[in-house]
Amino acid sequence: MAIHAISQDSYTATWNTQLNEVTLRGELHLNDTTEYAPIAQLLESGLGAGPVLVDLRGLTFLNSSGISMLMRLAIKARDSKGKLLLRGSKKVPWQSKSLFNLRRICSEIRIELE
Amino acid sequence: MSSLFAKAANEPVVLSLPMDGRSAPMPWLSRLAFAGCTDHDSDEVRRQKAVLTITSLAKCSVCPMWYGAYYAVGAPLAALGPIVYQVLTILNVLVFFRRKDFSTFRNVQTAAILLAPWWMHLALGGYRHSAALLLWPLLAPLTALLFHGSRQSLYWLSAYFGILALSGAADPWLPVPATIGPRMNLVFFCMNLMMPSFIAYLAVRYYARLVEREKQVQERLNAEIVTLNRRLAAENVRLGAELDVTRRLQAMVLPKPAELAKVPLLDIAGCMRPAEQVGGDYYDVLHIGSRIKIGIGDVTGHGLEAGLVMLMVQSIARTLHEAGEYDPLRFLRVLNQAVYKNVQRIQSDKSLSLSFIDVHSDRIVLSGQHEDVLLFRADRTVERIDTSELGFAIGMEEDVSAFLATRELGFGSGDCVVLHTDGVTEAANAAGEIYGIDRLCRVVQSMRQGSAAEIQAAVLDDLMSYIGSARIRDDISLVVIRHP
Repeated sequence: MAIHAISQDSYTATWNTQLNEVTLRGELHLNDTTEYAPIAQLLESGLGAGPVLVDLRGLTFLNSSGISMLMRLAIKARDSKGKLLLRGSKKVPWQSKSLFNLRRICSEIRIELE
Repeated sequence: MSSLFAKAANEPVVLSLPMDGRSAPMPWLSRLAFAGCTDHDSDEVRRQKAVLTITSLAKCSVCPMWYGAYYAVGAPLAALGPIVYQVLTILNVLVFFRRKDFSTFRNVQTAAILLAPWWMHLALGGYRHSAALLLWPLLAPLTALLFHGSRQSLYWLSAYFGILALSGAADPWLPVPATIGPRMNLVFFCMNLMMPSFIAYLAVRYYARLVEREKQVQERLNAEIVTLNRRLAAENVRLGAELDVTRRLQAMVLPKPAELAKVPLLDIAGCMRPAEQVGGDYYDVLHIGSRIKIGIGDVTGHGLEAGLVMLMVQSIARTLHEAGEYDPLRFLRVLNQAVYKNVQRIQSDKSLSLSFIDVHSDRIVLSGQHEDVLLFRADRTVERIDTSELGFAIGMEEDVSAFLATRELGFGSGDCVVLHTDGVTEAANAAGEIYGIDRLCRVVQSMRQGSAAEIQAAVLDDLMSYIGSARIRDDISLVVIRHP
């Protein structure tokens, strides 16, 4: 089982290639697209590898640059007709509003809020 | 640093030092020199092992000359010295190659250097008859100095002096083989004075060169550090200047209080407090006669690029308004297209959230996606209007018309609209807890009777005391619009 991981003080991003699941945890306060690039790369690799589940339940904070990264992922999913399932949590304030907003980009994106 | 030494240690120059030549690399010599090394050896130990191996074998190879000479002049007992030295050295080197035990190797070698000449001295009949042969064991403490360390070399020096003293005391009683004539004795004197001195000189020179080379490496590193520091300082100045420019650009382009005071019918206060790394917050109040349009937005990221995109948005919005584009949807669609194309041109991936409010005498029309718009009613109720369905990130896609929508809300006397960027609601205190929209609403509610400027000041005061000593992560923008 291959796991690709990015780990920092305040967050972790892991891609389990066998299940094709990308999990983001912690808080993401990165400054701009350049700083988000490694995580965006992980997400896009997941999307490129087939139907991908992005687990955001443990991601308690995501700033506007991070939301813009998810929007770009959604645009990629729409343009490449990739299958994207986003799993979030109702307990995390930013998620309900921002995640459903992503479905406006591509109605094929599935959102599950627990 | 270690790679520099590794390179130096493997270069033939070190091995050829005793001969002081710059001979061409000889692979077999190099293999021989490093045969006693292991993978765990440091570069320093590798060098020591190689030098001692090669010098020992070199001295060993000239032994036949010595025992040949003494045998020829009829002193076979003295000839035993170099023979034993040679055999012992070869055995010692072979055992060292096998066991890689440097400590034993250097001890045996140093002892041989000390004792073989002593034996010869005694066999030849003392100081004068051996022709000052006891200068040779001086190489023992010198070897110790190079390969054992300065402390151990003291013991070897004491041993050497001990031998000198003992030999001096024993000198009158030593039997003298009569076969070496005065002429031959003179030849031996010259050789015994010259050769140890020469070897001692080479050893000191070897050390001096090592020190020189290390100094050169150090100087090169220092020069590199100085260059890097200079570059870093220049880069810091550049970044500092860039942030400064961005900060000034942003401040210049935002509407001034005097301008806001001229807006008819409304009491408006706006402010933006830049973060350490200036973000790209935008707000503006555009008005031509009774046509009032208020915008608020937040460019993703920080720095000059974000500031530049914010400036573009401001110019495009103002141009559209001046050109009489009063249809909110068309306004946003064209604005997005212009921003998108410009962002593509500067090869940026910036985008922004952006909402506009068209203010009419009795209603407001919202368009575009940004943070929630807060509407404080005269009857003390609060409406939080989610704008995510009214637009899309500006500059991300060429055509956003499918995402755009408007929402109309009544706006009468005593009502108050508060616009903000996420720098307000996502500001965190030292414990990492965010300020949040509820707290913002409470503070505005508590100041409902105040003017727009007073409401704004109260929110900023509360926010700043909440943040306390924590870092301001994002620009903080707040616009308060009161219907008197």
